[in-house]
Amino acid sequence: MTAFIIRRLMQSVGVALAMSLIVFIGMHIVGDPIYILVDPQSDQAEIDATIRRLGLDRPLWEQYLLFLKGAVTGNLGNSFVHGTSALPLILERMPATLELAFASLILAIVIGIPLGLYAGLYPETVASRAIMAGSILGFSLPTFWVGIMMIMVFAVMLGWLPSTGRGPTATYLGMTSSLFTVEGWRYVLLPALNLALLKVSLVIRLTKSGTSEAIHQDYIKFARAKGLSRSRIVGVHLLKNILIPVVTVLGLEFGNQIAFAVVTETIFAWPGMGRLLISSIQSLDRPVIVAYLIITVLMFIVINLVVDILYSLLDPRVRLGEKSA
Amino acid sequence: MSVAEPTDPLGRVEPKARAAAETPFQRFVSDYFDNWIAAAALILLGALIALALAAPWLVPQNPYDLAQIDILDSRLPPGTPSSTGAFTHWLGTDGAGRDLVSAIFYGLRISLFVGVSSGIIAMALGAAVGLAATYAGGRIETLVMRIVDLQLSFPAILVALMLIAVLGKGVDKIVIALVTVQWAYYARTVRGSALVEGRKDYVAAARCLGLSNARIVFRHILPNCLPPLIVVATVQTAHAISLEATLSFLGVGLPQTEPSLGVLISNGFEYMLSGKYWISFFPGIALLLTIVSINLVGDHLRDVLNPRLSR
Amino acid sequence: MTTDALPAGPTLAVEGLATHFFTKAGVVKAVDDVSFTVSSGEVLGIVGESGSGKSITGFSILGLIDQPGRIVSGAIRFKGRDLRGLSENEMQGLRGDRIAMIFQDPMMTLNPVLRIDTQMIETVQAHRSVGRAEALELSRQALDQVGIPAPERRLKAYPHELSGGMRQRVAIAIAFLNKPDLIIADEPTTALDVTIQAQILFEAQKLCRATGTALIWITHDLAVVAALADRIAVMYAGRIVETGTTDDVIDRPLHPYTRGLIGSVPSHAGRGGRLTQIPGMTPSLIDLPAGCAFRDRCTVPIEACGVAPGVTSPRAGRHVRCHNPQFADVAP
Repeated sequence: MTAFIIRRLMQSVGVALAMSLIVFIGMHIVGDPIYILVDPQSDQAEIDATIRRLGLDRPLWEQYLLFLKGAVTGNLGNSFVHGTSALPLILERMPATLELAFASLILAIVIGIPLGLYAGLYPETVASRAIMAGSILGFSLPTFWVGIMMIMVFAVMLGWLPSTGRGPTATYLGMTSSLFTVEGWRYVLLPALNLALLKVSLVIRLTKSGTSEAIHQDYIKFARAKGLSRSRIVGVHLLKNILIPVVTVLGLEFGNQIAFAVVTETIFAWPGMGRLLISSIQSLDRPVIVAYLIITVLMFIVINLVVDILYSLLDPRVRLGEKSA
Repeated sequence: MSVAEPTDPLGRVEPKARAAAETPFQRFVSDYFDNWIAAAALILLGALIALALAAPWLVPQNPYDLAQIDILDSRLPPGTPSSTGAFTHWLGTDGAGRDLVSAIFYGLRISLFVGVSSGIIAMALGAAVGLAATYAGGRIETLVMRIVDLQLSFPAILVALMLIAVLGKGVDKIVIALVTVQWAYYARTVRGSALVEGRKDYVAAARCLGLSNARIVFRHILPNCLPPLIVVATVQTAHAISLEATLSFLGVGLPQTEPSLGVLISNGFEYMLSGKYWISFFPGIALLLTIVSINLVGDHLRDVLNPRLSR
Repeated sequence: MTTDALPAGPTLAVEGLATHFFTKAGVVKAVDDVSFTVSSGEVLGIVGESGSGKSITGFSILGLIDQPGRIVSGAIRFKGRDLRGLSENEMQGLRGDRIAMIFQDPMMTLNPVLRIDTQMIETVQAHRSVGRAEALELSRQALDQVGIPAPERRLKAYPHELSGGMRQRVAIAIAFLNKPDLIIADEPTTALDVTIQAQILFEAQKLCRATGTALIWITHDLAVVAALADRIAVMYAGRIVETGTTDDVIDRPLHPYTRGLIGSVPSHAGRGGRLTQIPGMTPSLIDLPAGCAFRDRCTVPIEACGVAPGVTSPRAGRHVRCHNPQFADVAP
């Protein structure tokens, strides 16, 4: 197990290095990187100073090492708009985004698995057909438009939930999150539901197809022949088999959630890093964009690593030593 | 692939007799129209495309001819007659006084154009790269597929946002971004089916006949890759339309001068908190109908074109 | 374990059982008018080709027939009680406790993501309120009984870590776990090597004799039941066509189908002799033609075969469903 994690970590470092190289090369292909890293309004003296400070007058390989050093030490340049270092700007908004993505993941599981299970167990009923039709719709609905309609219905027309912003936070076990307060959940519910929309459809489909496949397996019939209760057959024998693909896919989709939070955060004025990215793109605040990219790439790598480990813990048939990436 | 069992556990024999006189295309068409939902989706899609193409001759107003727009008509609720009395704003007007029916039909044109053109370019590019990689084999194939995998491991929206951050706004930029996001799916699809096809006997037979590799790839393997490619193309086009609308909504997609459905929805967003729902709602419905109908068609095409699933 | 006195008579008496599947293509009469009995400590072999309805018979007894299938008529008397009158809850209480089943493919019957101990303990605890430790000890004993070496280690294993034969022994141990009165074994050795097959047959037979469990052994392999069963029932197209004691049926088969089956077993044909085969295929069970279902493949059809034959008893303890039973000795 330890050997597996170490090897996986080494691979992750390799991927991170490859990605940093791509970002670095990308910056050079697009144009002189100085114009990516320096405020368009700055004069020649400032530009020269920055070139020297960032070492852009040195050979390419040395520049790359400097870029790496900057990335590792958290110095990726200052935001043109905020005037402060770009990396902390992203990092301080990260908890809000993670919180939103996490809440939507919970909703996707809580809503998707029971519905998918029902549709798989009773495929012929009207309710099941409605669930499956709804999941096709869920794949097709443009997230941003649904978000707008949610605000329209639940905030403007019914007035049940607040339309924008993040609720009060509380600190618990060293983590500060609005998920620890009731009011916080009132704020996060609509954006999380919006962000969960696609995932709910995905979980429903995965659970349903897993269920309808598993119920015809001999081990389910054998469990029935053993006289087990229906709840144990569904809750243990069936669910444990279905959960493996669902957890794996959801884990891998967590990165997607974070990326897609860009849209949800913009609609619901959620103070996360996605909203910062959009305003940075609009104002061409490039150091922030580069910092965002590096942070997300690192997050993706961590998520993939965690999912791999989780998968091997869940499925006894996967032997860690033999798995190749 | 296919289960070679004439009877199932109950001893039933699968009825598989079919009229031999049908051509494959006729069979495909009749298979497709067996499912009324898919048939309805195809008809709806056809109608939407026709409406978009014929928009200039159908709608009461050219929403981008400033001479035809009266700012006094702005934000009128659905069903209000226009100030000139010439026609009725059945779906209301937007913040600039444009008739929404007209704006939606024109918006549909732009959305479909961007989605379909980026889809076609991405398909051509992706299929070419996928085939070329399979044809070349070895290191080149590995390298290309690594790049494809790497790109696909990143969310499309993130890749598109980064490209736009670098390229800037505009129809051409959006199309470039959408093509970049999509090509990898096509490349992977083509390579996947090319590998499967390449192992089949007819390819071995073609080799024995001494045909050139290029001829085998393009005349023998490519046509057999088309069914999965078509399925991916429908799904990807729906994705592209949705993604363009999302980017435009975020304010980093199409400019106001090229108002796709996403731009229309975005424009209505600011009026929504004051209860003027229609400016965002109706363009959204048009977008939804477009995407749902394409997805339903694609979903059913997958069933019909997949020989393993055919009943 | 409770020791309620067995009521007089057989452990299981199936009378006129009919299980049909109502499919879109038509009604599949998978089991039609099937009757047999099996008593304590006795082994009944049900023999037939795939699709003859023998597995469906087993599932019918356990009440495990799913839509679109349904038991349409007949009685399944288990220790005098008709199981068809029981509620689903009562059936669930019987399954795995009084009546157990062993499946054909040991690779598929054990849940791949649960450890052996979990799958055994839950079987005990579903029927008896005992603690985990006690259930685990019972499981260990059961594994020991079926000849699994180092049972403690196997209990901690996942199914994929065991061989096919080992897995089938685990399945058998699970079946015997609650000391049932009846075990239905549905081709449990078909997927195994011949040597392992013989060992498992031996273990199963020994356990039944020792515990007084009645055993129904479903198979397509006449050689297997010949070595194991006390009595044989031959099934064809959803009906039992011949029953009798094993020796009697094998030495003096009455039904042309049974004769065909015996003729196709290598040991009976003699070294170097030609194996005979039954021409044709099992008919589709949808819209069976009127009359004897075997008529088209029969070597000795007569005119009366246009009408479905009833059951006759030409000898004591023998029943056959044929208009033209063959009394001549089987050719050596």
